[in-house]
Amino acid sequence: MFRKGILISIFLLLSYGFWLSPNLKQITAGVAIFLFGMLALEDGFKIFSGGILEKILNKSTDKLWKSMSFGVVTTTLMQSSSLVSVITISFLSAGLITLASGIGIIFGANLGTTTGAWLVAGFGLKVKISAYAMPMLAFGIILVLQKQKELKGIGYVLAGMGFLFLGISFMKEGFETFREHIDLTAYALSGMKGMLLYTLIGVIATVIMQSSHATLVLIITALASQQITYENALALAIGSNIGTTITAILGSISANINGKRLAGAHLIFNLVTAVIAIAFIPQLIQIVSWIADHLGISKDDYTLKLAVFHTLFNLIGILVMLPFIGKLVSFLTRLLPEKERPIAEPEFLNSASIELPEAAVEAVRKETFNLYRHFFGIIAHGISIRVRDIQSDIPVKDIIESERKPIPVNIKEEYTNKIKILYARIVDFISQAHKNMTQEQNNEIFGYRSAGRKMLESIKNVQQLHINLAHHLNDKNPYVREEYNKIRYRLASILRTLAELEKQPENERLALTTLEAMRMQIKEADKQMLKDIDTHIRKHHITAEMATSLMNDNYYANNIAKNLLKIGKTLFKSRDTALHEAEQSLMLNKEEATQAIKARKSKEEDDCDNANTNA
Amino acid sequence: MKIHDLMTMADEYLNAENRKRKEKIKCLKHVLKKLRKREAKLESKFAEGKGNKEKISKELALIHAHRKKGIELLQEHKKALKKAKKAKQLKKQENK
Repeated sequence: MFRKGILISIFLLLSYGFWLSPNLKQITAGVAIFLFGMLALEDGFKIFSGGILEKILNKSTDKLWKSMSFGVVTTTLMQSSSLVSVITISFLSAGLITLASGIGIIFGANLGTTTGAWLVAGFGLKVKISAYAMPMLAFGIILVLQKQKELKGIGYVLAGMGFLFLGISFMKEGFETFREHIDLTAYALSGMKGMLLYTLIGVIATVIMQSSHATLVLIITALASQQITYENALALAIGSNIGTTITAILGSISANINGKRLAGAHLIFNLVTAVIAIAFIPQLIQIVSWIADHLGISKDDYTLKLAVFHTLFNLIGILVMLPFIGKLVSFLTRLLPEKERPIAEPEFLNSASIELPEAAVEAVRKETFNLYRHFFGIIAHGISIRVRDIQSDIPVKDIIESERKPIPVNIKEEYTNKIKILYARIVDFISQAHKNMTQEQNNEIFGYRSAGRKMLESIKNVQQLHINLAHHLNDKNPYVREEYNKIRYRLASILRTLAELEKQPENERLALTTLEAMRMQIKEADKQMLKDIDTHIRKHHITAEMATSLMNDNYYANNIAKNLLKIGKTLFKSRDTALHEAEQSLMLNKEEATQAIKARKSKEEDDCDNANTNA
Repeated sequence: MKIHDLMTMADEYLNAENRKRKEKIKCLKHVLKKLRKREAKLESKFAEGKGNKEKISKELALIHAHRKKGIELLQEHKKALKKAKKAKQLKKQENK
């Protein structure tokens, strides 16, 4: 409702402005074309980069200086801090980078965005920029119509730049004719009052346009046609720096808590920078004049001076805030804590990642791990074992022996409140994200979806198993008790193996081999159990009803075991496809595996004999 | 199409094959290294009597067999690579 109100107000205000002055149409059309150009540029970079940007972001943000340089370079190249901040938020939400790295990128992006002012002030106003725009638009649109993805991307970038140039040209010409009719300098305000008012106007203009770049270009063109004073232009630039945080704030609405923290960091940084700039404005103006003299900028070239000022105050902000990044991270973590929720919510899936295949795959992977952790707990409790015991070094047999009381767990409620909700969100996210992905990426996310389905199936099985386990765990009949403990042992051994695999670093992990050994052992245990049940019936150790329950529960246990192994193979396999294929090429067939085990057994027996002979 | 063009195409094809083979050799070496490390770790665990002995024994048996298979595959790839290189050299000499 509020948004609709604002939209209507803007429409009415603009209509009134258009009626009042025909030149305003040209200026606003210039802003609109400029913004359209930025959108085209962003689209182009998204297609053209084809995951390159994400790959660089993923690898080059382990140190603060690297993440800051990344922010500076990418924003300078793309001329859009919005695109960089939105990608950063989506990567942070997907858990690909840390909050500190994200803050580093945002700091860098703030500095990178100042290059826009240099380009417009130094180049855009000095030459007839529309002459460059026309061929760019013509070539760009032809390329946009091509089928090939890369050509389309280049086309969008070219057309975007063309529209940017055309927009600047419109604004410039608009202000020049506007000057002949109305003199805006008559509304200029000096002193602190003017500084604060124009800062506020800068904030509002940037919030409306959602681009500090567009606001800055508008300020520079207005300044070049002497429609605003130099001091008021500085205040507007400070305001645009605060207003630009709106993009990150809007982007963080659908992001997780880390995305919100990053948007908070962006706002704090830009507010602190603005306060410093306003407080020391006379000194900064003097420093700008001094720098301008040394750079050979003439005294009355206020547009370039504005560019110097913009760079200077952002640089000061970074220098002031840099030592406090650690404190800023801990402050934001305290201010926006993680919430404990009775109902599970996705931590890594957010709409910002859908468009970025690399981030989307990572988000699905992390969310499936999140689902797996809930699932792991339910399975462990379902067989009356604590997760911390599974994750410890205590032998599984000892855990089974010591834990004889059933752990109270409402599997149905856990399933509805955690597993089902999370899985539904993963499936929904995959259905939206998979369209932009390569075949390899598609295979990976569908593998995770399948692993999630196996988790759901296993929980349904453990629900059945849990009822009889709870009943027979303290059964008077020692044979039944023993058989149920064997089932617990079998499943707990797999859970222990999976916990060990999760702990291992990826370059040491051999999931396929480890889980194959586990599978063979489970198969043997299953065969043995059926034999034991037969023996118990024959010797009247257990009743026929008990035997039926045992056989049913053995069936459920087998299903869970098979699913656990499949889930493990998906979650803990080598993420490098070539390495995974190499590991798969070494897998043995049934005969080879039996022979290998036989050979090992005879070796162990020989070793044992040798040891006995030596003794 | 001229014979020369056909030769170039065949050469390019061979190069692509070789590239794939080199990548496979690199991956196999990496996996073999991992297997060797894991085998040593499990052997010491087995000797100390820690963990599930039966499972460790099975895993060791599989690792050993995987390593054996891996070494054989590696040698096969290396041989094929050498053969392709020799064939290429021969073709070059014939062209001269």
